[in-house]
Amino acid sequence: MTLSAEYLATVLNSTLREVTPLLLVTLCACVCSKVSVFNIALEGTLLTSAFFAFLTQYFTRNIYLSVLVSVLVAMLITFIMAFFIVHLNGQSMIVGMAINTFSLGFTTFMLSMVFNTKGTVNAMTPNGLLTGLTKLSIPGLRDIPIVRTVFNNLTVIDYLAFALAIVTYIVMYKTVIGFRLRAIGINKSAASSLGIRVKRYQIISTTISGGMIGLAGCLLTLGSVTLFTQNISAARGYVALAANNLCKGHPLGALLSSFLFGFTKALASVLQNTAAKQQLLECIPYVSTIAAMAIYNVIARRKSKALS
Amino acid sequence: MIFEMKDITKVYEDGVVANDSVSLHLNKGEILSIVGENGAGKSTIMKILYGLVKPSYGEIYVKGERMRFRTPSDAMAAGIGMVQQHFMLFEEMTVAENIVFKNEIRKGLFMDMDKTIETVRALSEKYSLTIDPSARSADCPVGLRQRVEILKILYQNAEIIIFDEPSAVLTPLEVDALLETLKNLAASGKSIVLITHKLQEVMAVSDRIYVMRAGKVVAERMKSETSIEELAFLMVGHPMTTRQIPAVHPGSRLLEMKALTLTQDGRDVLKDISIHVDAGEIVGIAGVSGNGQSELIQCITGLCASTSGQVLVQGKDVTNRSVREIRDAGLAHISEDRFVWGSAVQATLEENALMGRQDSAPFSSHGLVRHSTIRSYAQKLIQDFGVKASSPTQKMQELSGGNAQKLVVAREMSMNTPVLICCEPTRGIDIGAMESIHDKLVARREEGAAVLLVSSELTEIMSLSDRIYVLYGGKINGEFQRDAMDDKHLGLLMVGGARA
Repeated sequence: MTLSAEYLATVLNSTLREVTPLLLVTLCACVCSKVSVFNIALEGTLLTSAFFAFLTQYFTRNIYLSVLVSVLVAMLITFIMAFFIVHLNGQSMIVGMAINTFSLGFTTFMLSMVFNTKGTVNAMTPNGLLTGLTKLSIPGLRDIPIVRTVFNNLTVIDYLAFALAIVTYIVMYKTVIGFRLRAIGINKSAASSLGIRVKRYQIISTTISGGMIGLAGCLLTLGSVTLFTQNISAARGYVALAANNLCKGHPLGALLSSFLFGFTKALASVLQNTAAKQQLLECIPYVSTIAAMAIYNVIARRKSKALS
Repeated sequence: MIFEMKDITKVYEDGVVANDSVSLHLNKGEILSIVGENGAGKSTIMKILYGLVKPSYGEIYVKGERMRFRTPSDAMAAGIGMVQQHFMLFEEMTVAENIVFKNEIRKGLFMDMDKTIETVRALSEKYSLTIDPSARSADCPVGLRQRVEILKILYQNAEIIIFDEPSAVLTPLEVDALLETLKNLAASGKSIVLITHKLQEVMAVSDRIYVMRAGKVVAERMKSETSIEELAFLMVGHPMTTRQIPAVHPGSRLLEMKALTLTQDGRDVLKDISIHVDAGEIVGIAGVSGNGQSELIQCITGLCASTSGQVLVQGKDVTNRSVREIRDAGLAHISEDRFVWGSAVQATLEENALMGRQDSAPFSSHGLVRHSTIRSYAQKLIQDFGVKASSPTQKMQELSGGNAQKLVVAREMSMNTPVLICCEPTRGIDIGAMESIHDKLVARREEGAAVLLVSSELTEIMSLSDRIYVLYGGKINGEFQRDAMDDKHLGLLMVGGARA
């Protein structure tokens, strides 16, 4: 293995492809946490919407419809989550875990019903070859050798993810709606004492942000590869929670924190070709999550001590 | 007449009559006070006015027009605003953002921050309520945060402003500023309703006063034709006795601190505190809050470890021991915040009454608690201290602050320990209950207990203490005997003045 620029560009490219789904889910987590809805159902939402993206593509061969269905499914699940937690005062942990366990069971069951398998369905289905999202090839970029590798195989949703981070930031921090949402997250009773319908704001904002999980779902099944595997979300929903915790719900911070986690994930898969034990490699993302949280908390505690 | 309530009656679902044919009115530019004990119905009447509670019968008129408020928004739309006892602020946001919330200054979909800050600044100047619009509200002291609440209401163009116990959380200096603000607001044409049981404040600012008792308005007085004594009489229903405390000769030294010092982050929060309380003595700690009172009490009671020095309870060195050991040495502690230190809000009244004695007879034996004993004990405390509660199995958090305080006081006093530490024992409590707690404190003193009293109410300290220490900047800045007390001199020492 030689450490060439081309090789580094490949690592960066797979990092980018790991980052974007995570970023989209983290952005949803940001909005949810800003309006103080603890959404732990991210994982199940991601898994189910990924499945529906694949399923729609399998039956309709219409990529636009697939994206639309995936986004709607994610919004529906997020709405259910918010309705139970906000409107019916359910325990967020219980509601979230219920959605997550249901999603895993449901997608596994459907996988075996529709595709007659318990493992993986790849693009070569009994119905013929499936195509995923179109890979963008940007004139100018595609002509520069190393840059070309970095941006190789990225879909429009990958680019959209970065744009959405900025959009989410502007909505949450610059607009009147975002101001109210953040205020609600800080002090619900103060907001409702001023005649704001807090629950309505919470449910609508989380539901809309849930749509971003749907985009992430498309990236998992129709992005750089076209396939569905049982539990394809592989804890990305939980990692997004950690990433959100690290960036304190700030959408621009989410860019950094999801990049950190995406990088470790990419690192793990890149190092697979080396002598390192596979099992050890697979725990890199998770170990680094724990490490990042620990370091972050130590720093935060020092800071608050220094302040007081 | 800007506002009128006619024959308002409120009967709650459980049959409790909170208001019984209450009629009152408010004139433009007037400061109207409504005084009464806890449970007299003054809060309910204000909640009705603010749309939080619907009256069972009766009519409300604003500027002659009949109103039916379903929510606070309706009341706000009619020009009525309320400064709540518990502030409703968005802590992480700036003062300006807090003020404009819900009526934001926009530029299309976006916030116009420059104009927001400018508008808020202009508003604060107009009413001489100085604030920094871009300061984070969490960083503002209590007095300023209250000012933000007031500005919030002014920003919404309220003409009637209700203040619910506004001085309860303020330091004496902040109270003076608040009273000044009330007068300014009235002078600028706003109409003010002040709900309180602090009669000095009522007499300082009101034009007119309603007295409520047991859900009814029992009297209406012009300020010029009444006095604190008369109002107190009307509130309680019987004359207040001026306290005559018999002289008791102090006995042995029950509580003593020697050169107690607490250093936090390189700063001396407490410095060389050497004080003592003898048997049969009430010793007051006077001071503006935040000068080390909380830390002093925490060091004595084991809630915080001191850096150096000693604490002795009945001659036994208990410095930095556990709370259990210190209490076992003969000390009980009425803590300054009943909900933070004094009780478990999720637990029942019974459990809260038991706390601290769960290991000892007759409340438990062989590791099992005895419910019947605990229940009858809790019932006795509730009765003796007049706690208004529906049942001993009620949760602590369902009690009003004043009633919760009574239960905590009841528990700690009933331990009959030689040393009693009392912090703000009557905070948020009505006059009747305050009198009875003061009586009980004096009774404990006559039984030979040593009482250390910390209170932000100077009158409370002055009327009960045999001796007073003044705490300023973490140091003792003066000591007085009972007959050498002079509130002017005391006030000077409290703000750091030199010893006489």
